[in-house]
Amino acid sequence: MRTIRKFEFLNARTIDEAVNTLAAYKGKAWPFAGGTDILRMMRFQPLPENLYPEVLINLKTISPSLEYIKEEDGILSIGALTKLVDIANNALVGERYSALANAANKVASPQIRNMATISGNICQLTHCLYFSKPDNRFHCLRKGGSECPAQLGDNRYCSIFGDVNGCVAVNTSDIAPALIALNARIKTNKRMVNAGEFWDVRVPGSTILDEDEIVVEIQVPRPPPDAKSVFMKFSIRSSIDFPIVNGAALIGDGVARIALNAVAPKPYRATKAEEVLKGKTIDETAAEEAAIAAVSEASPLSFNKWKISVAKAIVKRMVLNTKSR
Amino acid sequence: MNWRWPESTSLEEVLKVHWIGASIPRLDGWPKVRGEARYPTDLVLEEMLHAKTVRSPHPHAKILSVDTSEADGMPGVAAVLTASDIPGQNRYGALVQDAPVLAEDVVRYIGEPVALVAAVCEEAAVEAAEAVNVEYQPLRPVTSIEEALSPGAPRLHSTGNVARHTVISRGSPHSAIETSDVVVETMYRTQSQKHMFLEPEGGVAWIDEDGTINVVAGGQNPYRDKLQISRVLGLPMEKIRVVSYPAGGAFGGKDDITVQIHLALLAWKTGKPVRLVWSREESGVVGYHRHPYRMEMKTGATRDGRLTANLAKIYSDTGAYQSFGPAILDVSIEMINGPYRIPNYEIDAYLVYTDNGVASAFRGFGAPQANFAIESQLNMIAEKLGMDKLEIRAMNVLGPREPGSFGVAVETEPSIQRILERARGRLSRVGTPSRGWSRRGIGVALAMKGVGFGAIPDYPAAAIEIDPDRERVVAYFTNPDYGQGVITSCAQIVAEALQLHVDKVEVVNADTALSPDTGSSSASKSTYAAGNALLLAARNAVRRLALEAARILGVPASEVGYDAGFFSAPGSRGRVSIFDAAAEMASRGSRPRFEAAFEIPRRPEPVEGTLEVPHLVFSHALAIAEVDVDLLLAKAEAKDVHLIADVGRLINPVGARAQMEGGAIQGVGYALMEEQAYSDARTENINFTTYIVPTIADVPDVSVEFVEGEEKTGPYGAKGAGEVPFVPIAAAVADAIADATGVRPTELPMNGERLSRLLASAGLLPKRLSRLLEGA
Ligand SMILES: Cc1cc2nc3c(=O)[nH]c(=O)nc-3n(C[C@H](O)[C@H](O)[C@H](O)COP(=O)(O)OP(=O)(O)OC[C@H]3O[C@@H](n4cnc5c(N)ncnc54)[C@H](O)[C@@H]3O)c2cc1C
Repeated sequence: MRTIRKFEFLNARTIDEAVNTLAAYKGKAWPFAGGTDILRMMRFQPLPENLYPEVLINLKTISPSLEYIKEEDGILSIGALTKLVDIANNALVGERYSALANAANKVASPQIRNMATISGNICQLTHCLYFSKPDNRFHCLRKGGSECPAQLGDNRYCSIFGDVNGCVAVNTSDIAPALIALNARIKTNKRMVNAGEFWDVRVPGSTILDEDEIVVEIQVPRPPPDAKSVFMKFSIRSSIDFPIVNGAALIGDGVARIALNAVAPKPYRATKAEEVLKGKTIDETAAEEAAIAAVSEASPLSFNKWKISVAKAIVKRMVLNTKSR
Repeated sequence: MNWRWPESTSLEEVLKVHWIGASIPRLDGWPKVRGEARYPTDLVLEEMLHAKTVRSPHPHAKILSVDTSEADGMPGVAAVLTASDIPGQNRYGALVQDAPVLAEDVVRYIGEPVALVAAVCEEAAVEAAEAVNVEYQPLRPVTSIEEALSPGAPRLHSTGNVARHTVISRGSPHSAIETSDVVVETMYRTQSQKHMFLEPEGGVAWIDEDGTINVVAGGQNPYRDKLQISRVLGLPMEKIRVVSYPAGGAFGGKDDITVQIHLALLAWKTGKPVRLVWSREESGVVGYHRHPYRMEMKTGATRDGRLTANLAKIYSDTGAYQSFGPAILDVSIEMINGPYRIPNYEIDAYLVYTDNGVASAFRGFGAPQANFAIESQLNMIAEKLGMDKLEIRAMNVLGPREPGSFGVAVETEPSIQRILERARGRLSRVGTPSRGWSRRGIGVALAMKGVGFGAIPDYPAAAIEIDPDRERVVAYFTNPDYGQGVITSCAQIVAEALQLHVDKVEVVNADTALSPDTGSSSASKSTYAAGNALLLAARNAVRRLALEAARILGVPASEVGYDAGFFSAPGSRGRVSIFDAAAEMASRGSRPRFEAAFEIPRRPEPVEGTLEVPHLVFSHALAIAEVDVDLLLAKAEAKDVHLIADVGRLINPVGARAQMEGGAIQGVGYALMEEQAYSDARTENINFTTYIVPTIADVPDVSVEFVEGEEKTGPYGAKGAGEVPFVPIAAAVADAIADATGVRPTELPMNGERLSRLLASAGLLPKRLSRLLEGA
């Protein structure tokens, strides 16, 4: 049986303790939230030797707890360690921030949603078939290798909006597009970042966070009363499956924000589509035009042209769905 | 469906209930759903060693050397075995023993076992396995049927890359095609499907004080496993015991050897208990899978819809070794003409070696591939002629007792006719109308599946013991219950035969030390085979115990009758229960245990060039599928599947229905999403995250209707239900997609990439999109 890689496990008591320890280990310590991704990584070991953490810092033991959902002064605050199941089932989130509740409800499976946290979800590693292969079978560009196997090989589920530093893997977070569409901010121990600027493609990380930086809270401004937010996800099967394309939109009351994910190495804000919708009443024609605009800059790889039509259909349907109240 | 235990348990009361046709709950259900049942991979024995298999990283390579010296000396390591440690024959295989137990000079697939390690803990075993140094010289792999058959391809076996080639023909197929009014010519491709059982291959083994090797592992034929172990270990059969109950799913994937021989070897070599369990990923790489097929079909018909000829070229990829490949090819040959009257045909069938793992048995056993081809052909002919799809089937289907393609009838009663009759009118009833880019279609396919091994001799044996102390009847048979419910159906058969409450019946399943050989749980035959043998054993029991009763009653045996658990004679007062009669027998030192063997009816000789064609008993099923196709997402979703089936008399209707539903769901996975993805003979999707099987959220509404034909040779009229529901699903779903979109998928699975190309080529999408997708 495949055995898990050895690591040390430290329970952080405070945010300071967590980040100080992270700093002391200089990249050899990683934050640990629900563990659903990180333990899988430690078991299948897709990375080269030099990139693994030696220490996992448990954030669940931080006090006061980072697990909460509250709304104050028109801002929804969600603690970084809040479980996806609790976001999905929260009545307030479901009512006013429905794209986020729906996104949380579409992640993986009930068992995973019972463990996985919102910060773990948005910090999940951007991956492709080759990047994830056990035992670093493909020492790809992003791991410091010299080639991107996906550019030539099976890239059916890869980026349709080009590469970032040569990597065409996609970010598969279901939560990310919802946060971008809802204009959320991500609060860390150091700064406040707009959701649209949170993601990056690094070695091997997928966010702009520093080695000694953790997410502590997600803040979502309450959408205007007449705007509606929606989330849509396309995957091969209806449950326990990563998105092939997903997206979220917030439209109405003069606002139009549309984000897609799993279509590029970073979550993709469809600004062209948003511009098309400015000042328009939502109807079939407007939705179609927005959808065409959303994929106007697509440049598919050898095997994934089909994803463009999927992305376009998703944008159109999201836009139309914001119409019916 | 709301069957309840009878309030009263007096035997007279109970007799008013018949056990045949009673939907009683699974006898082994409670411990399983409560999590109390202990599966082979759950077992922990004292001082147990943990084993690990050293596997080839190459799809095809020469082994230059195997060096175990480093591993041998590692702490905690109890044994490191290679081919040279095998005392008997280093070969196994269900039909032909062609696969090395541990590779000697060549490896032919990724994951082929080269050495075995046993150590005191799993970690030590893993480390020792990594320390076994195998030097390989990689050879060019053969990764597809086409490559295997191309000139200059590497030869995987000394006989070449064709494991078997069979041509069977009748009439003048080529000229009949030429003179046919319509001809449909199509190439079909089907994929490799994994079983994905919840319990992976694994188990434990230990040696008794008397030297018997005990192997407990999920399997489908403990006696054949025992035979294969004995050949490899060079030990007499009586020194080996195999237990194959319970098993957490099998579907054919545990029919041939998995861990059994390796376990026995390690226990024998170390003298200690050993555990060997494949990880999910190991199972994903080296576990068996369904044969991928390429089928080239040319089928002709007259203007009024009568089939005239069928030309079929079948290529089956058996992977590195034969396993059940030849028998599976036989079933495809037998099914490729369907249950239809086709006066002229030519079937040209190849079983081809590649380095793509090892293909083996899987629910349907060659029938699903052939069914996808012939039923799609029939639907296309009907479309060309503007005929009703049920009508064309009714017109061509063989009548009861009418000899078919291989000289035997596919039914003795008009069951297919009844099925078609019931289907009438259902094809025009589409649930929701199409709107926008979403189209709803409805499709149909008809299937048959042979029950048992056809012309291959098969004599299932079973035993019944009447236990007077506990007043219980114990039924012994070895074809394993791996979830399909054969324990329950057989207990019902015994209860009915002895006219006792089913509570009085216990089952001992799949243990070679306790039970005679009932053969395999496969080929839809477990209830048919074990049920028949138990019926005979029950009859022997009553006949023999009547002698004891006669003695007690003081009457001649010829006057004794048996009714509801009691022997009595006209004229004599009182009666003797079956348990008292058994006590009488036991009191004289005779064990009240009764064995019997059943001969499954067969033709004395198979059709030339085959092992098992023809079968004499067939189950039938017609599937009607409603499918939504989202043109823009290129996604097909099965919404509704209706099955009309004849599986013989239903012993346990709820159990039979569960088989139908399970078969339909697994069939939808095969049709729409499941596919073992290979690149250069390496499986890329090896676990549940990457190998996508349907979840409950993907499952269509499945409804089931039974046409209960009475099978004269079956126990209380039963045939077999395990496989036939799976068989027609892919063709029915493809037909529904064709109905919805006007283009017909000919490759499985019908997933997004394939559908998007199909839809674009048909010009079904907006122009911009079509341009974009063309050549995608
Ligand atoms: C079978 C399966 C299917 C899946 N399907 C989907 C899907 O459909 N959609 C989807 O979106 N996701 C999917 N996922 C991914 C899933 O969402 C993640 O596993 C989960 O959200 C991660 O949360 P976690 O709390 O368990 O994170 P962990 O595993 O604890 O951490 C994940 C990563 O985030 C980092 N991290 C965690 N918390 C913080 C923090 N506060 N600050 C900084 N860094 C942090 C960790 O260091 C680690 O790198 C799937 C996963 C599995 C195993």
